[in-house]
Amino acid sequence: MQADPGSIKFSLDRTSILILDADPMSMSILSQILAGFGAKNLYKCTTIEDAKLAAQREFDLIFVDPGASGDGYEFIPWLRRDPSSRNKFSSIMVVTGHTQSTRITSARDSGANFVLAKPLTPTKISARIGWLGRDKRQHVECQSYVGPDRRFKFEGPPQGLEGRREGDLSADLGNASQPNMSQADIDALMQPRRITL
Amino acid sequence: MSDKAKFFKPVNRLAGALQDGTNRTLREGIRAADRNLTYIAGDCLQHVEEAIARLEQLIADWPADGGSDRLQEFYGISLSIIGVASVVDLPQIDVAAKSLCDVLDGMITRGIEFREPVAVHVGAMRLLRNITNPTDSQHVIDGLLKVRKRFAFDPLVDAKPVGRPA
Repeated sequence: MQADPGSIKFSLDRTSILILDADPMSMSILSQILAGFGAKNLYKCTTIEDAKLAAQREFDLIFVDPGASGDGYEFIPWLRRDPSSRNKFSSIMVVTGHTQSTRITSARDSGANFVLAKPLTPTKISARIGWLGRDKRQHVECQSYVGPDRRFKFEGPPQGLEGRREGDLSADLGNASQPNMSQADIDALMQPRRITL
Repeated sequence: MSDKAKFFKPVNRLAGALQDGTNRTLREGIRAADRNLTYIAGDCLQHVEEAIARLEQLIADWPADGGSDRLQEFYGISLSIIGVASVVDLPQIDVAAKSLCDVLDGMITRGIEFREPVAVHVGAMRLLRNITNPTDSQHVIDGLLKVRKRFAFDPLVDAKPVGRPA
């Protein structure tokens, strides 16, 4: 069941936001939506150089449109890795109309928290911002990637492979310490039973 | 940096900022944002019109017996339409622009150039700008998606295997 939007508190008036988008029309649409939600601290940059300068201050939320060249994807690893960056752990949302097939790996490895496909609507944006606000994923740092954990579910290392996490246990299960369950035991686990409370 | 991945939980600043915000409701915000979008609807429509006109000009300049070295330019213009047309209630043009981006991406990736699939998309955008009947629009879109299927990058066929994510 969806919650009533009339009862949910949602305001961006205390949220500092940076937008990197080289396309003025696309920037305008996103800015108008964010302004509608009360955003006041909105920094708009059309080039990566400007965005790097703006990123000398802390932002709670950063929107990046990678643009037709896909150059915007380079800004995110810079934010995540550069020693001077004050936004290593900021929430970053990529907004894009289309991603070129040659850029899919860059998009995956950039370190963004979320990729949002255009067209943007107020409902879509607010839902995703709310989701980012509730995001409990851990942050990952390794040679090839810095950013939020891309696994939304962790079900152990892939079968047959050694885990790469520091806390991963050995994939070797060892010998069974008890006899196998009989089919009757397994069936008994599945059978619905009437209970009296 | 070590080869082993380090995991930790940083403070979610966005959560704090949202928490500190005023008591405005989501419904009020959505209404205000929708209202703001109506203020720029005229600019959006003009943007879509100009973009389609630029695409038409590029098609007109495409040599009949050769390739165009401007596929990336086509792609940039088409990409700039996506998300803007929907603001002025022309979502079908968004779909056509996305389909054109797929076709152009497929051609750029494979190093091939065909005028017809691009011209069909640009012609369809002009058509979709003018037709009002949703059924007719859907027929046009269905046709475009068939063209798209033929030219777009297919990850199952074209993609090289990539490394496992962290």
